[in-house]
Amino acid sequence: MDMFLGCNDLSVRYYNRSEHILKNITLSINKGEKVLILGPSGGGKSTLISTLAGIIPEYIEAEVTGQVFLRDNVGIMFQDPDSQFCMLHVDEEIAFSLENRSVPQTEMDNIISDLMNQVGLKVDKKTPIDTLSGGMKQRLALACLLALEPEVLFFDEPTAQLDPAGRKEILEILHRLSQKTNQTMIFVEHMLDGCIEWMDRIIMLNEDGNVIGDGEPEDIIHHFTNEMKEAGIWRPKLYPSKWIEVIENPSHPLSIKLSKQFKSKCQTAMKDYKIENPVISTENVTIGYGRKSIVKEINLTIDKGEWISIVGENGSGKSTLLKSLIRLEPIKKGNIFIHGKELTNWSDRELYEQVGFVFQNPEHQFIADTVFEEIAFGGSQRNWPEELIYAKTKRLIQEFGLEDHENKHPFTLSFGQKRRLSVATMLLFDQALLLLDEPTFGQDEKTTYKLMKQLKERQKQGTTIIMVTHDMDLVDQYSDRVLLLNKGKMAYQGTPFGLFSNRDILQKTKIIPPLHYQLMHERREEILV
Amino acid sequence: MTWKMKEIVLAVVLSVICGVIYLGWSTLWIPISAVIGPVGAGFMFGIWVIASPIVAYIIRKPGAAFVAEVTAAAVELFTGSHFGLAALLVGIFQGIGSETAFAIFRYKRYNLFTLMLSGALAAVFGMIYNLLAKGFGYYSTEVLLTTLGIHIISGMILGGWLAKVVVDTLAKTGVLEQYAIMKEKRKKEDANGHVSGL
Amino acid sequence: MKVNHSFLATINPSCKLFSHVLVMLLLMVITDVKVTFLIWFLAVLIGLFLGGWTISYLLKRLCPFFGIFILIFWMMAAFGKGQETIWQWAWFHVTQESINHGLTIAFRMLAFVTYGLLFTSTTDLTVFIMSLIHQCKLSPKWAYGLLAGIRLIPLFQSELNQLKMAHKVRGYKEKNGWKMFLSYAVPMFTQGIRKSERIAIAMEARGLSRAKNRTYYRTTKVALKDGGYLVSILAIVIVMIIIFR
Repeated sequence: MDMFLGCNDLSVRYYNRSEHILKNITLSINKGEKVLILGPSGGGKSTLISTLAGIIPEYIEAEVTGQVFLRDNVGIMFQDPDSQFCMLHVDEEIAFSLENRSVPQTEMDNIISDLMNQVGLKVDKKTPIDTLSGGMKQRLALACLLALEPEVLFFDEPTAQLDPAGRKEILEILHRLSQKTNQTMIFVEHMLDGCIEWMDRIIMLNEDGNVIGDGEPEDIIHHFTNEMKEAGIWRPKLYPSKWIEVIENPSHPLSIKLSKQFKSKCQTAMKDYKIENPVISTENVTIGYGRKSIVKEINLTIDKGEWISIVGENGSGKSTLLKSLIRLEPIKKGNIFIHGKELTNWSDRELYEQVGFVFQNPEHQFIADTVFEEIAFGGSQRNWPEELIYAKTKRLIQEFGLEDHENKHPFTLSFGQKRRLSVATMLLFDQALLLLDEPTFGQDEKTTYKLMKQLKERQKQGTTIIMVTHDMDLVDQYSDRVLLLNKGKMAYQGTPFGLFSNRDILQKTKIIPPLHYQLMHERREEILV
Repeated sequence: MTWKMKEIVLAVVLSVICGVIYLGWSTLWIPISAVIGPVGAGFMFGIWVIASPIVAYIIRKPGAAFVAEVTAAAVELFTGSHFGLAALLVGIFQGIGSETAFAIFRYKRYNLFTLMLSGALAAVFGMIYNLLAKGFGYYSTEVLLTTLGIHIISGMILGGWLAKVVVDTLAKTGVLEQYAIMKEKRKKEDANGHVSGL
Repeated sequence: MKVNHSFLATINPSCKLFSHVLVMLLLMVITDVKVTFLIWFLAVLIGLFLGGWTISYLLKRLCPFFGIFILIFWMMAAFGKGQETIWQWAWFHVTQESINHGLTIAFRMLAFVTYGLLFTSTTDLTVFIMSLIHQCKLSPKWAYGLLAGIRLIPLFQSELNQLKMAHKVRGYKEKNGWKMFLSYAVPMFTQGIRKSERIAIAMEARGLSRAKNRTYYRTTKVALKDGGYLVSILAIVIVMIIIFR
């Protein structure tokens, strides 16, 4: 058989598991094809591309049966921007690829400049990699792959750990590259917007590691809607419709749907809010170290039972502001009040019974050996009676859907479960205020909405929620008010509707609003023209 | 026995983390040692030699223990700790000590005993450095011997025993499946399974 | 390790390391306060004239070490051996000899620190590792593996801070030393193991092990001045030992 790339009756099993992660897979991928592999998390997508890229079983040990047809020269890009580099500076990192290919030293400088141009990495060659943003790091990773002059490029969720702006950036570069070079590209992604539009083919895996669908993107999306939903894949908001059709044709189904969404939002925006029972308020707060101020002159008052979203570009000070609200960052100027009492006057113990904080990385918060003990921790530390601890913990375990994992070590949970556990641990005292730092970052669609639903329930019972996020759809759907930070300063404070319909602020702060607002802006422009 | 890249990076990364933790440990140590003297502060010694038993227990290759302690010590150098190049020298001495424990058993035994022995020998070799460089010979013999004794005990407990607790906890979380420690365990289980199957 | 633009920064790192370690080994066998002090002072002079240090930089970097200097001196003076008692209280016992030993050891440690600083303040980390490949025949796999780990140091430091915050919020206070270690070590190690595996695979996927006749973007050589530095620093130290003994 003469195959460019593929496999024949491929099965893969990791030695520590009794079941195969991939079963009897036969695939043939043609030169120049752009292929997207989809499936549930833990369902073998990464295993499949690692096998096709020759990493399994060469560098990751596993039992592989069947035939695999490899290319000699391939490149693979991974999701974590921080763990694919081994050098300190941009030029050295690209050179590492060249050194491995024995490119003569005299040619390296030119090649490095060329590659940096190609991926739009417009920084000095000597820039330390640490100082690059996530999106820039992924550009560098791409340059390092192109330096290998690969026949096939593999991408293992290259944008999973980027914010929407970084994600858009990377996918646009890849799209341009694919048009220019007709490179063979194989993707694993769990968010379809931005890449599905230019894919030739989708391969759909199921939980058992079988291929259940293989064909044109439009057909697969159409046929496997439920499977995708079940797998937690972020389905495209637009595709297969075209934006231009939606704008020009008001009777287009998507156009109708978006208009409806927009109208219902209009109505909610009319309600004005009054603050009756402030939970937390700040007066001219400036946060920073030494002479540097990260966040400046923040004034806000948050009412009991509100859901507040904090948004803004990376480095705008969102997390810093959130952390300062519970004394995790030093306040240089101004005051913060919780329940009317100044923050400095709270003892640690009292404060954290009132305010829960969910860190971006759930693992940081885990201190016990089992899920049960993890949730029960605060109670046993306060010598609560056994029955009370048991009852409260059980209730939270149930509330957050962790019943089957009670006795597991927190670190062995799935990503979504870890997140839910980290929220549950912060609710043992029925904290009045819950702060969350990017709680849905890297989560799939299913786990995201599961978490949002649980938080909504809590909010109904009176919990105040403040969350830092990049996801504007969540902001629009869930929050009562949104705070926009721009370079450490408050650029907007008010309803999501007010923010998303204000084109000037959106452009200045590079925020991309949900589709129904975009449609509204387009229509308005049309009228003007 | 050549090292796989995976093992090299793992050894370096684990050692680097140990180095970062050592730095935190140092800030705890300085005020304590001023009051109770070198003898009492010695009880905390063991943490400084934990890198070797942790890495050797996971990777199980000649040189692992030595490399781990030297790399962990180098972190103090790279981040500009109070001890500069001196830290590197200490690391080399302690690393040789730790390595010896595993070498004695021809790199075939990795259990609580060898791990504790590695902590103890690291203490002994660390003391040789102290005698040569830090003038521990000037202390009275009783002080010297008590300090050595405390270091050895601390090395066995905070170095050896704690290393085993740490690694066994890590093994439970499933992150070590690709490394020698779990591979050997699986091999043993397979062998046992086979025997009981007969 | 951040490099400045001094003469010392142009010296081959392996050669510089070797010279400094040799001086440190010599210091270990010197028991005289005066000579130890002079060898330390030599490091200060090198720093000021060849290492690009300014007086204020020197003070800023060495000041914290003076605390340690006093501490080492005190430990040696108060707990060391000696006959001529000067002062005694509780378990502290200060003697003429112990004061002398205390000063020697304290200056020796200060010299260790200063020679260390002389190295770190004038050496670029990448160049250092490259010179380990070229001059010390370290295998590229180890050299790049080492760099990959070193570049994570700031990441792990911020991770440690995050952990401290998270423990604070959860009200987790541990008096027990080993439990405290465990509560920091387990999350950091888990994260580290996952990262290290990904990094190693990324490096392999970029052809590290397949490389035959690997070329180098940055090479380091040993030149005459490197040998000159080694010889002169050793010569000065030895002369000092002979004259002041």
